Amino acid sequence: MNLKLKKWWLEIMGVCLSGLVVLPSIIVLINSFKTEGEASDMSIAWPKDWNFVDNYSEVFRIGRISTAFWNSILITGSSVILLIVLCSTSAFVIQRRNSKFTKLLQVLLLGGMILPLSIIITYILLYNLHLTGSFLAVILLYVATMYPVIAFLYIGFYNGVSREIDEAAIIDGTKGYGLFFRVIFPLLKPINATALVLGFVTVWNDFGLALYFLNQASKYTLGLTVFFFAGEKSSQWNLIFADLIVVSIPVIIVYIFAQRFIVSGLTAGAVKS
Amino acid sequence: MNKLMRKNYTYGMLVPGLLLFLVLFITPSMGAFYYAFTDLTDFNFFSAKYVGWENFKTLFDTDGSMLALKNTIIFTVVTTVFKITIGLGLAVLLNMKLRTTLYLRTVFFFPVILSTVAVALAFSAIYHPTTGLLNQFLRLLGLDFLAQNWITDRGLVMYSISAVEVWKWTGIGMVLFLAGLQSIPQDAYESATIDGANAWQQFRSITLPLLLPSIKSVFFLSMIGGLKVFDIVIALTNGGPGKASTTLNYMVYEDFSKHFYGEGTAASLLLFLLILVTVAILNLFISRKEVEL
Amino acid sequence: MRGLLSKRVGLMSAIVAMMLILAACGGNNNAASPSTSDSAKPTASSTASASNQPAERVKLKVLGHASWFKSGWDAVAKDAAAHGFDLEVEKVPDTDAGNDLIKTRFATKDTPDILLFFPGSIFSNMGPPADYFVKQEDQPWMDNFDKSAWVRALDEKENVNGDRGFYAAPYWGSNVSAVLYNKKVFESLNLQIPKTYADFLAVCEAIKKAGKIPVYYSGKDSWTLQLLPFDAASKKGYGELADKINKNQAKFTQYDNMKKGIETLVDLKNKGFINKTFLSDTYDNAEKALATGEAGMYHMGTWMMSDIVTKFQDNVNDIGAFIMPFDGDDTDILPVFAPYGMFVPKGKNQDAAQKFVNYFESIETQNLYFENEGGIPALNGVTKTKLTPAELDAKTLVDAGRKFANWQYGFDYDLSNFGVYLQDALVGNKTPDQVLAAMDKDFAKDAKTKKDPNFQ
Repeated sequence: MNLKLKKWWLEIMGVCLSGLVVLPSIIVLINSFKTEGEASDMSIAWPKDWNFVDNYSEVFRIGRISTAFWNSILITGSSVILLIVLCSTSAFVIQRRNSKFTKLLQVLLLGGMILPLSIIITYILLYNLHLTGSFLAVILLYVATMYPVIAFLYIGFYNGVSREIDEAAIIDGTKGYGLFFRVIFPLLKPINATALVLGFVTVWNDFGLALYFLNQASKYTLGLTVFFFAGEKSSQWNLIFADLIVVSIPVIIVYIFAQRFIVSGLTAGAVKS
Repeated sequence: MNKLMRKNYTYGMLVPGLLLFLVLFITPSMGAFYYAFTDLTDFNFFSAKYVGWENFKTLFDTDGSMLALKNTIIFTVVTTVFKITIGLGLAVLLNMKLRTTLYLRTVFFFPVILSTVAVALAFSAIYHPTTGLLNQFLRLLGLDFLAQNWITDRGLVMYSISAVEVWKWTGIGMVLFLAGLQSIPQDAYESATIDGANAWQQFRSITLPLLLPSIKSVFFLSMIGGLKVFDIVIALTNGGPGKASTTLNYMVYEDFSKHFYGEGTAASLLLFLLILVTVAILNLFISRKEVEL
Repeated sequence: MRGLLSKRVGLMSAIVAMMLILAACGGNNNAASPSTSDSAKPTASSTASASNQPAERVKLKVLGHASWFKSGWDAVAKDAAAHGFDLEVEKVPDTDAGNDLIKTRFATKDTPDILLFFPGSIFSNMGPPADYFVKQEDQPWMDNFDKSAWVRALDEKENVNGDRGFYAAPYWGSNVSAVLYNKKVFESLNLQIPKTYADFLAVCEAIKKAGKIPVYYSGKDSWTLQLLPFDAASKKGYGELADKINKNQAKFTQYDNMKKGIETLVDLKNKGFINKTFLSDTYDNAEKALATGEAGMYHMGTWMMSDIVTKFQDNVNDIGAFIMPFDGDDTDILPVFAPYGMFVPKGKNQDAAQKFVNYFESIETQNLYFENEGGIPALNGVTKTKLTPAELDAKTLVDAGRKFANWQYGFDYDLSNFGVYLQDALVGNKTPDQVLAAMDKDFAKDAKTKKDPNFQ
């Protein structure tokens, strides 16, 4: 009886706490339905005039949402796929092969997590490679800057993948790349899901890199569209909120889809790192 | 085994990713540090003169540089402590196989995927002294005296910003801890109960030690993120009121927006070294403690 | 191991250095070409708009801040198409990042055909304007333009010696800073427009007693705190001091009018005449407070009225404008802000772009523009405007001569932290003198970094 009561209590407490989380998101949602005048108050009051269709259609029109959406999908999708492929392979070598070189690489990766990206110098570098303003440059940059974090994620995971699997496969005759792609890779589902979500969220929401390296409005990602509604002096808050909701929806969808993998993905990864 | 190692764990697999990482990230970012010793402004790369340590001297001389350092430290310490404790608490809650576990897990991780801009906008509305939800709620409960100027009081602003950061990122720690908790075998707890240990003792002697690797990860991620803080500050308070909530990375941004690239890079280099040294020292300290355990 | 590492670093830095050198060489080559097209100038013809229309259709790429393209632009764009100009607009964010984007595009020679940007800032942002833009002196549109009224506001510094020239054609309207007040509030309390500072305080007292906010401060948006001190600092006579300060022969701490402005800002707060939550209240909150009559007065520029027209349509006629009385005489004025600038970047399309500029600045097109957009035209002879009562009040005062160019135009270097320092002053963290001293420091630092010989 005592345990049951305790559990009920915990459930209620949990749901209340979750309210803390949901509330701020509701502010953004509800203000996206108001008129410009009402929205500048940013209160949680019910809208006096429902501007749902007006606001969202304005946002789609001015923000060129459809173009931006596909740009984002292209950039985020490519970045995440490249990240998963490159990091899973690199991390595999680094974790399995115990040499001074790989130990040095781990230190380099750690440094890479702390090191700030130098926008100007990188810009010059890309300019000379004639890559500025291109999707390719931005995709490669996202991969290069997120490489350390995602690689560490995989290294942690591999710590939990027993070498006996490797040895068994080698005895069976697999060699080199085959070992990785045919034996190890299928085991990576959970950690791949984690990397997918983390990578997707980071690239999708980023606007620092995108703003500097995609210098044409037609190449803008979804995250940058919010700027079209922010003025020097005042902004159209109702449209800003509507835009933020539109930008968040794809991420939420990806998250809901992949989230059941996340915990199991980190189970094997976090413990032994 | 060595020959086998080389064939099966070939460096070849490492090359593409590592090359990209080195060429597009490490090289330009480290190369940029050269400019910390010049008086680079705007894009005048070729007229930038070598000025030695002058930029660093100017940094210390700048109004509010010590305040920025203090704010960064407060932020880092507060967010790290709370991310770990709240994350741990939530993970323990979620591990109890309640009916609402799936719902709670989804909700508590949700802030992680939101954009910082959206979060900052929502919270500056919540923190407003009169129309904001927080103070209105406190007044509703009759706790008027607790209602504060959350982001306009110089003494409080940094803590209010820390609270938003904790709100947004605790989910990651929670998930990492949850994963760790779920890999602890149940029999460990069962035998402890048989031996007469209570819940707290079990937590201290079984759970905590086995969770140490996860705690370490969250600790370092939080420390690094905290020392580098910028996004949330610029979105929520823009360093204000006045300069009350500026941080080290915010100072870098200020320099860059005025096109004092030499000075900005110097600040950036200092921050980088600060984080490096802090992480190295903490790592050493923790490794020694681990050996003792 | 160490040797291997240092060799790699060495190789990498060599590659980077090579790339930097290549960038510079490339840059130099491009800089050479624009000057050759400088000699080609369109024939000056003041009235014939026929010469302003290109023979075939021209495609022009326009670059500017997102919020500068509103109803006025839309109307002109339609008309421009009928005249053979196909305009392709690219918008950048209205922030520092957007400014940087524009600067980067020019630094990497990826230039548009028309640029909309802040006039008077080319030298400090990009370098000598002659390197980038076609000079506008002797253009047909200048026939309707009173150059002397806009010196230092719409022209550019050309070199370190301080020579100046006009490179921008006016875009959008000019604005003034005034005390915007809610007429209904004044009428309900039988208040007259104050002519002296004592009157002003009495008005504040009366409004406060009636339970409303006398003067609204939107402290969260620190830039808005500047308007009241601007009203004092722009009083006639700052020109001489500005010249001296620019040459490092005087300091901001000697700028008495500015000090007075800051003191007044703090004074009104200390007397309790402002909104208590001023540090959390924004420009948007201020617009609502003034429009709905929650506040009686707000120190702001007339640009605010375009927002009121959009957000508070019903209250537009409730707002008027008057001059902030510091000294209670004719020396109290309205600081004038120049409109934005339309520049013609040098490049292959510059002739067509110049034709467009002359078309845009012609009286017919200006009438079309201002019919659809608010603001006070900078050119003479524009008859059709869409001014709100507050703007009309301001225009009357301006026409009567109670105006002066905003003080900032007189100063060469960075003063962008002023708003933040005012926040500091209002929370008691800086005295007015300390604010001025901080500005001296910023100014000198910027001048030194820009290699001004007087500040080394």
